[in-house]
Amino acid sequence: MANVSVTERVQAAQVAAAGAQLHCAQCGLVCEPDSLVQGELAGQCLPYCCQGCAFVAQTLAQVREAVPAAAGDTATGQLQEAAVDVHGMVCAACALLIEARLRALPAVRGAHVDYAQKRAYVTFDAQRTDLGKLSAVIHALGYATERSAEEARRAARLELARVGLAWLAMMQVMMLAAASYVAEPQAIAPDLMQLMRLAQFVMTVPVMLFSAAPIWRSAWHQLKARSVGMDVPVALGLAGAFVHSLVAIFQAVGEVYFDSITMFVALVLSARWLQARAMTRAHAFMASAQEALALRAKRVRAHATNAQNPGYDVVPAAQLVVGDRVWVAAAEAFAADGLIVQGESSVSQAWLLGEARPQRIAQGAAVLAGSVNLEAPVMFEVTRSGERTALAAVSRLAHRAAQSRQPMMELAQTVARYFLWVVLTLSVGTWLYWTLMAPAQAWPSVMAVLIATCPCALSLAAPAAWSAAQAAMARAGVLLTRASALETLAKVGTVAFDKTGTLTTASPHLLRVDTDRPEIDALTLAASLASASVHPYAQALSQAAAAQGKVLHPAHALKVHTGSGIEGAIGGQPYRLGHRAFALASTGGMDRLDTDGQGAATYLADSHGLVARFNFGEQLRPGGAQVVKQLRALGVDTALLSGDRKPAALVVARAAGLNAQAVQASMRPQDKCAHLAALQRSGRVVAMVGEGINDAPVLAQADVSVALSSALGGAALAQAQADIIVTNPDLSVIADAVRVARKAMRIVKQNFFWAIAYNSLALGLAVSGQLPPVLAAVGMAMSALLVIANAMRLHHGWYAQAQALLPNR
Amino acid sequence: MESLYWLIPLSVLFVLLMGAVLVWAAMDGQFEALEQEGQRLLGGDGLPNDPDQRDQA
Repeated sequence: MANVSVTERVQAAQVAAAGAQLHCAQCGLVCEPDSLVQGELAGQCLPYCCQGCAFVAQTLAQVREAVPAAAGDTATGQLQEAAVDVHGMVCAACALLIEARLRALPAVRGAHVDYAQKRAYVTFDAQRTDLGKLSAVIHALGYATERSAEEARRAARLELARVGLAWLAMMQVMMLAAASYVAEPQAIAPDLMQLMRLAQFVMTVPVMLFSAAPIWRSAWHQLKARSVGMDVPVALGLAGAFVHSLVAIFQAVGEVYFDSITMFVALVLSARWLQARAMTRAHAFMASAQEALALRAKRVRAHATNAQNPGYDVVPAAQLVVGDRVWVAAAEAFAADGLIVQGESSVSQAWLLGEARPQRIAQGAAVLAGSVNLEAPVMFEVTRSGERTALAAVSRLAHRAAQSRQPMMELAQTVARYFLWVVLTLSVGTWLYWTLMAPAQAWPSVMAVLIATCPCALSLAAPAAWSAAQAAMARAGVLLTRASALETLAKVGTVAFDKTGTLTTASPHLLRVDTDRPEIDALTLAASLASASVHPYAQALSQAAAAQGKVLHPAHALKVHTGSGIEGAIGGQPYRLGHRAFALASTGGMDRLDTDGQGAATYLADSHGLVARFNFGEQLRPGGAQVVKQLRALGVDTALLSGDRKPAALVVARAAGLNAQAVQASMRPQDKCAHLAALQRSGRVVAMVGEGINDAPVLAQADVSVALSSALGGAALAQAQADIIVTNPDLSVIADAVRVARKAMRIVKQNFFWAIAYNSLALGLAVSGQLPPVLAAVGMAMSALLVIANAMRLHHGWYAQAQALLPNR
Repeated sequence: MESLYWLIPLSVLFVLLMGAVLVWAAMDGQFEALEQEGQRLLGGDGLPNDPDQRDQA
């Protein structure tokens, strides 16, 4: 495929070369004279626009020669498909190059490199090669690959091995060191003492070389980048202690610090390992969303001769285009967003909604990529694929949130950076002072300063809490799209709700049927007439009838009077359904039903007069009343901003438990903005909850905006401009989110307080020579562990609450 | 006390050996999915020929 297009381009280039301009034989671009490269290919001299294209063309030619040898090989092993993210591709030619190079490998059955996605899809024989080798091939061409799952697992194991080895060595070194601490002076023979020191040294070497390797590496990178990071003083302290101890052994005088070294490495690595695990857990939600996306799809053949069994091709999900029809077997995931065209089943959308409750789907139902088909095979038609799916949108939002920095985190990082310089300066000062005053004290004091004052806890304080909060919220179906939203949410004083589509479901709902002729089944009659119309009230009647299991009568001579109602005949009797005046027009008779009701009403009449009145209203969303109650319990005011008339807004407000004075009705978008601005001027932090698209300007006015994606379906997720997107259909998670945000901020403050208090105390003690290096190591690592453990608390608390809420829904 | 002169080097050798075994075990993934093996023992593997599963069916 790639080869053909290249050949075509070469021909095109040759044709064009006859004209005034030279076109590159590889990419087809016009060659600038000053960067023109002549390359020889298959005995021809061809023009290339740059060295890169010339190189690509040459390599492709070589690869092409190698391909026939590989193609003859048909041994079938275990075929595996994988997607590898490739970085460093600058043009489509790069994608072709990687594709051709991969295909030339004997173990590779198929390769497709998507330049736009920067991703390579490879089908390969798992018995003859693995992802690591394929990545190495891509590396050899000069491109970088994202760490594959296999490599990530290896890295995690390596971390564990490092921590484990450090602990083992620490215990053994400490045993030997303890003997010299507790023994009377001169009680241990000098040569035995020397042997014990040597033994400690031998056991410390693997810790320094293997366990502490990440510390050396990151310290080196920080120095190379001319920025002082956390690991620079740590590495200096470790190296200093090690060298000092080594010299002490050879000179047979002075202290050795192998116990401090091993203990420090063991504790610091443990803290980092725990932090990494917490982060992994925090990102597990996003990872599961990524895994949820099927990499391949069974695309139904378009021009099939056999309509019953058209057959399908297995294609990479990225190749699906709008209009493709795809089979999804039970237990498989949907590879794109689409509409069901055949079959009935149920799906789980746990990745989006935060709950794994199955949802029924049938013909015409919308499904989202990443949902898992639970029961029976279905066929769907693709409406959005690749980067346009809701799943991709959610991933992008979550990544954006992870990348955007919270102001508080920014501040902590800056403080930590300055603090490091203070530490380095102080350690030099300490060394000078003690060298002059008491040389034996100099090394231990400098080491204590370098190690004890590492602002690890300070820089972990905010991120640890933030990621725990984000993960907990995501699991309940609340997505933060901006890091700063958490802080603002914690300070919220007023939560304003839009009415229609936010506090209530968007469509009207049949509230009440009043009749004084109970012998007639008014609902069935009305629904039978209503089936002719797509008016929202007609649909509400149909839904209500269906919900009560009514069997509709066949209606004849149906006539829809736009704006008035429907007339028709059922069982030979004429009926009219619609406005009061319209319904009564045929009879002119009197009616005894009173006319003042709540909300809008529709009337059904027969030839004798009115049969029944149907009252419609808006139905409160699930959790609509709870969210108001829970927010009030948290001391947060609630308000209802509605474009609707006052009575309708008041009905909803009453149902939700809102105070009448908190209701603002008949508001245009600009009125809503002004109202929010007025609230903000009075010093309140305002959150606005809306459906996310039509009310974007109002949402933008609020300090923190919350969009309900469940009101719109997955389609609108990507367009929703909000700081927080609620995917859970239950509104009460908004109150939970406020609670978590407040707790997170409390934890951040506790963490900061602890970190600052500890660092100041340790610094003072270390400089004055009061802090032995062993204690410094313990103190520093413990404060980091404490900060992480404090943040993990958030995780558990919220999770328990969310679990407790679920069965009630 | 004389024995310490060869016991200490011996213990160091043992520690290095233990360290190597530990690293090997960690890299082999022996510390992952610790609950899974216990579950396997208790709950069976879910195959149809498992006696527990068959009795329930």
